[in-house]
Amino acid sequence: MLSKRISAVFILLIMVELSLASIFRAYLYGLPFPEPSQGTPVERMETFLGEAVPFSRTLRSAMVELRYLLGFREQDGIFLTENRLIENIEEPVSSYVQSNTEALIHFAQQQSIPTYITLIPTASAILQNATPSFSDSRIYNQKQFIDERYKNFSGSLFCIDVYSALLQNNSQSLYFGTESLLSMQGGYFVYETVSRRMGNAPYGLDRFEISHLPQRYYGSLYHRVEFRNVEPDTISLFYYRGDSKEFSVVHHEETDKVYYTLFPTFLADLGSPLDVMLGGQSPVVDIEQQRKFNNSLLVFCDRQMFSVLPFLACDYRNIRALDLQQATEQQLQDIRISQYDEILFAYSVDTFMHSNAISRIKNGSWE
Amino acid sequence: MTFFSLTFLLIFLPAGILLYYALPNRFKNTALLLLSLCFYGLAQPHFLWLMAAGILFDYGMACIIHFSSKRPAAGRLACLFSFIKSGGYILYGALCVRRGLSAPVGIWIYTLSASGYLLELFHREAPFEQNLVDFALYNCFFGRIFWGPYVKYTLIRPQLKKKRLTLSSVSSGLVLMMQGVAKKVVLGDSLFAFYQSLAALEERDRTLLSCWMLLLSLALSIHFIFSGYCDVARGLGQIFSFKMPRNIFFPLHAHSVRELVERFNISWMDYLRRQFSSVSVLFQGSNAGDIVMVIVRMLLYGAWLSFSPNGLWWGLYLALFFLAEKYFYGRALEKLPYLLGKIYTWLAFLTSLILLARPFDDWGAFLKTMFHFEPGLWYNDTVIYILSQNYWVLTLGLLLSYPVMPKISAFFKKKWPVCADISSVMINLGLMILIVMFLI
Repeated sequence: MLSKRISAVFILLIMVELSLASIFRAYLYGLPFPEPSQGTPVERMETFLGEAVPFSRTLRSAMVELRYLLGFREQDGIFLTENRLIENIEEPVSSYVQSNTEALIHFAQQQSIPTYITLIPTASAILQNATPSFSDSRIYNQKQFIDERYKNFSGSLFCIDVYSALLQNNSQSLYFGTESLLSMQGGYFVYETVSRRMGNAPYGLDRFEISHLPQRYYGSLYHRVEFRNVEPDTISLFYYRGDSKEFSVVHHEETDKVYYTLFPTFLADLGSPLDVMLGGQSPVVDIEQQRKFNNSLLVFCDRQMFSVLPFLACDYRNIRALDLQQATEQQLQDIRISQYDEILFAYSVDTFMHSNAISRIKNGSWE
Repeated sequence: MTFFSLTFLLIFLPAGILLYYALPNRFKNTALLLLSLCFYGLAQPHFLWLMAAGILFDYGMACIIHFSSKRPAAGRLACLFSFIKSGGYILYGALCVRRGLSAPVGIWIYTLSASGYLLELFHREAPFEQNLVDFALYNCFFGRIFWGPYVKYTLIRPQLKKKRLTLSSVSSGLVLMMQGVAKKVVLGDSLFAFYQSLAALEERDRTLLSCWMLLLSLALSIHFIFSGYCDVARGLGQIFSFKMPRNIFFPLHAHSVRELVERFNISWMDYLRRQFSSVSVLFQGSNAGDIVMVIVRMLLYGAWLSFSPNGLWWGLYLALFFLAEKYFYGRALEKLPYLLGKIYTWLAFLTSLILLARPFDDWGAFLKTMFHFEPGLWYNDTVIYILSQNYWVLTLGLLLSYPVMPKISAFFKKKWPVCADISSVMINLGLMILIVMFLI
């Protein structure tokens, strides 16, 4: 009975201490109580306590690590491995896939300009050897999906298969460890395939000088699972070191932003290391270089391409990257297709499957 | 709000304990009733009126029974009305579920407790409760509102009238409650998640191993979730000076289906037996009558766990084993070696769960896969992957579904009492931290 009494005293003390400390912490750090729109009073209180309880983050990550030790290798669709986090993509939304496919075919059939498409697989497809044992059957077959889409596009668009190139090099750091995006290393292999297929002569890897950002980076996957065992990412930047090239990158947002480099590294100090690549994501980004090339390229893409575009920029006088998810109707109307020599659609398989933003291509006037 | 939330553990419970113990004895029941109503109001405010109306109705019926004691017909009618009301409430709850809404919490508990009391009152086994606060508190004490136990009014009444507040009962209650929360949150929920991941498998991915694992995880999750709720109910009872009986006692340790049913949801079986005892007298020991009674009882037993056609089928399936053991091979079963008896019980119980876990049109195919012993089709990567994520909870669940811990604890207490006390404190504190980790 003595042990029960001591336990009860401690339990009661912990309960009271945690509740008082939560209130104190909320007051001290100004933690807001959730808005009435965020659920019932009890649900809001639960959310509030989840944040306000002392050591809540430590306890949450301890919980994930405990489960990892006990054999859990997956949380919220993210595989937890020894050195990286890999997001598993869900089954495609067939209506989105259908509308995206139809919109692209319709667009391509109206154009006389060579139009290319590449679907970039995610890490769960390429790094299958890094995913937990026996998880293969849980991983969506992206190869099959890509092949089926390319069959649909044949005759309308030129399809570029980057899957094989990435798979052949999957022993290298193709993707970030804590983010579902291609690293620049992975971007290079995509570039090499795309560039060659588009009739250019891709630059060899030896033409680029690699430098690493001093800031270590934890991506969005890390924050979603709170798995502390994984190392932060190092962002490597590939600078062209051949004959001197001068680039300018213009972001068309509410007010235009101009960077006179492909890698504005000062952005890393402002807390967004990934934005170092081309200055981050914007609805419309223009990349220009004053050199011998005359070709220009219009790229419809998502964030996955931001590690590829710095390489492609070396091949073209001007590249306009347009994100159909973010672009306004006006920005779509303003595009003059005839100004470009080639058009490339480059999307992550994930975006193609789970977003119908690509079907917005129908909304442009495309003169 | 449920017991398994930070709001309850860190705000409601400490505040409730403080309020209850700060008040003089004569206000304690009122305070506890207010706490119960507040708890219910926070959980399902839109159903608070339903509970209040039910309790007031039953109190009115109790008054009729009491004041017309010389006219048994009036009393009988009052009991009948109460049971009809309870049936109506339960059907309403089922209708809510069918329409995809949440069912009123505790509807089985507070309606049937009140109807049971009326029957006791009618048979003069229990005295008339004049105090509406005590009557309401008996029916809707928040500790047992979810899954019971059903307690006879005669057992609770003395505790309502005279409080025995001891430090040891409060301590035991708090520890028991914490252990209950841990059972539900750590084991029950993890096992249920394991069950759900197997249940979500498509038919082409289903294998012999996945079928058995699915049923095993369902059996263990039901056990630990129910056991967790019952421990919390008993623990809260002790904290607020009610002593309530055990409602579950290692059912998976049983040697026959009959014993398993008796060990699982003890108070509900007891309640059904009590309510049906007066009807059983009519059959005067005839086998046919007894069989009908067992079937009806078991149907209600199944309905209690899942008020759906599947729940009724499950109850009927168990009734068949129940009757077979009673009339055919019960004695032979007693003579069976320990292990064989266990295998028989587990087989019967696990196969019964198909009726709960799968839709009607899938029962045959599922059963076929369960006993499809063709080599190469026993397992696949998907099942092994799911199992590799959950083996720990399955092992722990299997271990703790047997009375291992009480035996180990008793052994240590006998051999090394100080060590046992220290480790018990450490385990309880560890559980508390683990609970916060799981709830956060």
